[in-house]
Amino acid sequence: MPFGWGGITFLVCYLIGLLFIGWLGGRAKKDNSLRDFYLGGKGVGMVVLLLTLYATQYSGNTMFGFSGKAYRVGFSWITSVHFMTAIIVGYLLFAPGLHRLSRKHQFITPNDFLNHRYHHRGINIVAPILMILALGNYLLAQLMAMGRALQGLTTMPPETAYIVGVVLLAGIMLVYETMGGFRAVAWTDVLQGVILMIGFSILIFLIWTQFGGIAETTQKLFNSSDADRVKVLPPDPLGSRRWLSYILIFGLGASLYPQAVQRIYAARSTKVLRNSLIAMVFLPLMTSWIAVMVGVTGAAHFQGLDGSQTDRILTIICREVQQSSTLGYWLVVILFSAILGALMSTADSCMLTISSMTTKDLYLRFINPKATESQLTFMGKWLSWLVVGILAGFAIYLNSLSSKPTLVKLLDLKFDMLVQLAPGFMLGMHWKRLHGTAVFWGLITGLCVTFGLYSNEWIQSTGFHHGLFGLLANLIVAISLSLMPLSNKEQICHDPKKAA
Amino acid sequence: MSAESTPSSTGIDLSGKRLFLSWWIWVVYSILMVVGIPWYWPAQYEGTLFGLPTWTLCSLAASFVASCFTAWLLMTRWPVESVENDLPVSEKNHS
Repeated sequence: MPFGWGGITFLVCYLIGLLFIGWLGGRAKKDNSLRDFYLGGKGVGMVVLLLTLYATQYSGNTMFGFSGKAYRVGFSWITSVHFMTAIIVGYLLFAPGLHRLSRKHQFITPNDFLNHRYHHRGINIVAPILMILALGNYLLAQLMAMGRALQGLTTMPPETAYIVGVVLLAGIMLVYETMGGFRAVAWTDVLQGVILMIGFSILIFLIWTQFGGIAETTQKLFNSSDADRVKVLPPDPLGSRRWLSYILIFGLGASLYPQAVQRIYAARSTKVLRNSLIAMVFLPLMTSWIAVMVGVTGAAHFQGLDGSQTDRILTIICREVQQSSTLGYWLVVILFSAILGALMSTADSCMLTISSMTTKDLYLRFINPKATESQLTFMGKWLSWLVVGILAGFAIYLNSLSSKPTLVKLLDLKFDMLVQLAPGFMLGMHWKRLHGTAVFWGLITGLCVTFGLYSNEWIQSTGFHHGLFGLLANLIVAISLSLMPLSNKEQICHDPKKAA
Repeated sequence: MSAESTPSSTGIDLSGKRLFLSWWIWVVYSILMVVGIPWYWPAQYEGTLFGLPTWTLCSLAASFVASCFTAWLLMTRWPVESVENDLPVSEKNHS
């Protein structure tokens, strides 16, 4: 689907617009502090917070991964509507308290809460590393999706287009983030979020006008071969268990996305955060559901795709629409901008959060406690370049493999890890007796169980994510250790007032 | 549901964080989950409504109700604090 000069010019203007917003973010800088660079100083208002949450949570995975998965499994991927709603429900368990504490104690990274709550050296090492690895995985998925997005745009050979896509888009992100930090990321998210909303509206329009609507798609699949007909039937018992597993792991794991936790910190007031979450809770019906319809429409009209090829179903649909008329061409150009917006807005948030956790949680705490804020901010900027450089190289390497991982598989891996932090955040917010040693050993046990069972066939046959088995072990250990009577020495360790 | 107002032994103030922990809230979510996951439909069910498989509409309806319920909880049970409470400790001490 190579774009002509008109389409390319539009996209170039859009990308230059992102750089311009990054420059404006840099001009709005108040000082060289970490809070100013990573959270935008005193925080953001309702519109910016809502759109940055939206653009961050709905990503390349939503556009490509969800439509690809819906292509493979059919309407059963309404699971994604449920689990994206479950994320906001998960916030109910900790966001009100976390926001209030973050304003009082000027938290910057998610681990600032864990350190404030538990004062435990082991948690201070393991939790940031775990979050950095999980986010690195997510960033990798976005970079891979950027490459795949550009493959259909130019007349270059696919392998070359992939490399150019990864390098060019990652480079633009790095430049605007280095200039403006959180402000640049959040303000570009506003533009990207608006275009993303327009993009999803266009998708609905295209499904109705080009492919005869969802009713025709449903009938077409009902009349297809058994392999495709199953895509309109209710899931089997294994599918239902997997559905439940996705709701649980997203509700407990995705609500702890480190970049989303930082947005809870960045809300200017409780009211701003509350109102943004109220709007967010309805968005799965307007985004994930549309991605499902795209995938199912693709399954009915473009049969025969397999494996990671299915993640390209959106591109294939776009090609079809683009060739149909001039209106179709321009709709696809705008839609493509929305896709780039979804990818870049998620990737830049991951990048900024990885940078903040590496500098504040690891470098400042364990390597150079005397570093000044401006030194840390400077270091954080260059760390972003290093991390993205390494991951971009890895994304290019993965694309050269004969067996390429699907985007949803990469997504699952991340949550198996992140969900192990749920006891520390969610239980720790409400249960006074939960202490650092218990959370630490629970976390270690949870991770060992999760990865120890990774290739276990029985676990796979249950339909539940490995991370949930790990979480169960994690909770048993954390609760048991917390219920045990503590020695005097341990009591002093766990009680800051006594320690003082 | 009473909220604690004193700092806990762990050094953090737990007040106002139990706004959403009533048992009935999670019973409602559990019911919505049981209804929303289409485990109870016959395996070869082919009924459609408004052009969609009926089980799909049922799952979407459960999701919509869950969204409305969550929005209502946020509106009614998450009090908007005063600006004073939103200030950092250092700024409160100066004011």
